[in-house]
Amino acid sequence: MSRLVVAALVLLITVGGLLGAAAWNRAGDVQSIVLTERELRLAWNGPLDRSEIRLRLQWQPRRDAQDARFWLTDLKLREIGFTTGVPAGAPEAELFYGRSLPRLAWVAFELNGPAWRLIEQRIEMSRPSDLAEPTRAYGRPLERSRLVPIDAAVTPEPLRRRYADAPVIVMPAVIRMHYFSSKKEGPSVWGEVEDLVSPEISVPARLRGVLPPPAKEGDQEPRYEVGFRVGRLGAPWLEDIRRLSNDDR
Amino acid sequence: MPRDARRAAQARADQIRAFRRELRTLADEEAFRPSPEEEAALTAHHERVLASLACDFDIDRSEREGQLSRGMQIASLLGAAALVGAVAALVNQFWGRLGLSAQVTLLTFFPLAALAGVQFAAERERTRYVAGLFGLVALGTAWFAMATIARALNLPLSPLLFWPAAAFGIAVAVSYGFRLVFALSLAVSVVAMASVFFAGGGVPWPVLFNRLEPFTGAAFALLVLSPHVAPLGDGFDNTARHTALVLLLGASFMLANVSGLSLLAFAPSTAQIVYQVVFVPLSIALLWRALRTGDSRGATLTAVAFALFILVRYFDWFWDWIPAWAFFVVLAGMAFASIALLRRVRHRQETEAI
Repeated sequence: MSRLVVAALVLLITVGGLLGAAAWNRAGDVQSIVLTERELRLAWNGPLDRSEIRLRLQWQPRRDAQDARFWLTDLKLREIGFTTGVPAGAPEAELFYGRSLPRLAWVAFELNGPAWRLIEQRIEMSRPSDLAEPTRAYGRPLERSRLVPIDAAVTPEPLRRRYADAPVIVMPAVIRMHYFSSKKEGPSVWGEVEDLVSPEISVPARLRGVLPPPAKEGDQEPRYEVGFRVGRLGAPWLEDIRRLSNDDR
Repeated sequence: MPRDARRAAQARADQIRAFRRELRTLADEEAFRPSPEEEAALTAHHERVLASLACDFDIDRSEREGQLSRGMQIASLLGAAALVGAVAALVNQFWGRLGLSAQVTLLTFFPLAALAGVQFAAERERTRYVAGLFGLVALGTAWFAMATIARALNLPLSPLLFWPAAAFGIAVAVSYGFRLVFALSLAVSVVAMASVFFAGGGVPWPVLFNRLEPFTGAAFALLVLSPHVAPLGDGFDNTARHTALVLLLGASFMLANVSGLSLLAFAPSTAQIVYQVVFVPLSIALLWRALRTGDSRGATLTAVAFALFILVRYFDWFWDWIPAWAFFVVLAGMAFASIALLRRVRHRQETEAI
């Protein structure tokens, strides 16, 4: 058996390391926020009876170039590690930004704050034809996440300090540069949150029973709210889930 | 007793079989026929040797037994895949109803049970097909456990996990000479090495599959280091070399033929041309080295990669330019040319050997 003891030890140490990392993540300075079904939706629309259930975080992608440059400025992009020296109008810009590698950064997401209210106003002002488009930003109310990226940095500490008193969570995310050129608006370059490092969160067995079945087309309002936590490593978890009554909404 | 003694025993049995075939041919050609006494003594000696080898190492004594062994190898591979699939399906079936501690315990139990299976089978079966099956199951379920526990704890799949994943596989492989487990673990260690390059620069590690230079570099490092694993025995140095060759040639092939996979600061088409130019001397150098060292499998791998490269380039460059019939005639001509070239190489090797 001695020959295989090394393999068994490697496995046990790795599992112990994972459990230790999770425990360390949840200890100390934990960020806490209450999200609803608008921000945390079931990742899988199938039956919930047997398999693991996971919720997927939804956020406003801020894909509009002007809006994106408002919060993810050239200075911040450079700080994160992007090279932004090539002007959008330069002939090599498309190739340069198209081949730029994505970067890992910490992003501050604000819930239901001024940034969301501006987006909400734009949704209200948009034409009915735009609203018919089933995009993530302008779909039915249940699909309009109020979680909006507002700031980014290489490390989480400055963001956590800056937004200590605001309904903000700071999480690691993947940021990518985009280049787009149209005849009407000309060329533009901006950064965008492509994905979160942990976009899906496992629902613990004790909370499974609280979750309603997957939303139907007719469901307009959120049906549950979630106590959402983010730890020191930026790994999230669910503390509790509560069903919302009509009065809560 | 060295762990690769079974392979040496099998080589001796194959040698005896070849000797007997050659002796029959010589007798048929009336070139040489041993006296009945000599033949009887020789046969008795060989039978004793074969019986002893079969008793100690469970070797294949005939061509038919060899075919059956290969069948058992394939069956053990399929069995391992089926068992890992069964574990994954079982976890999926009941996962949601289990608490975290039960999930972690269950996931850790599967690979540990498979390790116990390796030991149990290895002590009872000399061919080690069943032990090999359990070795693959241990590897598959351990990797599954590491990824699933990280997922259950909402920890991102970090490149740091690749190192223990590779270490576990190497420890299992080295225990009883499981070369496939060793090759898979080395492939993961190449991914781990390449991910360091990106993680160090603040770039998400999955980018290593979209920009292949660090992966190619890591595969090359494995190729350079492969002779140093020879002390592990069991032909692990050959396994390491062949794994490195597959990864290096595969990544270089992709860089030369698929646009946008390079880190080079040129236009994607220019970078592709650079790697097309690099691929030719690289594969010729690897082929030359494999032929020089008598590594027939390495030579085959490199020759196949080179032939594929030539074929893809030929299609890419000429399909739209020349009529289809001429296209295929030139292709056939290239096949004849390669046969002639390989004949010359073989002739040269024969001359050198003499």
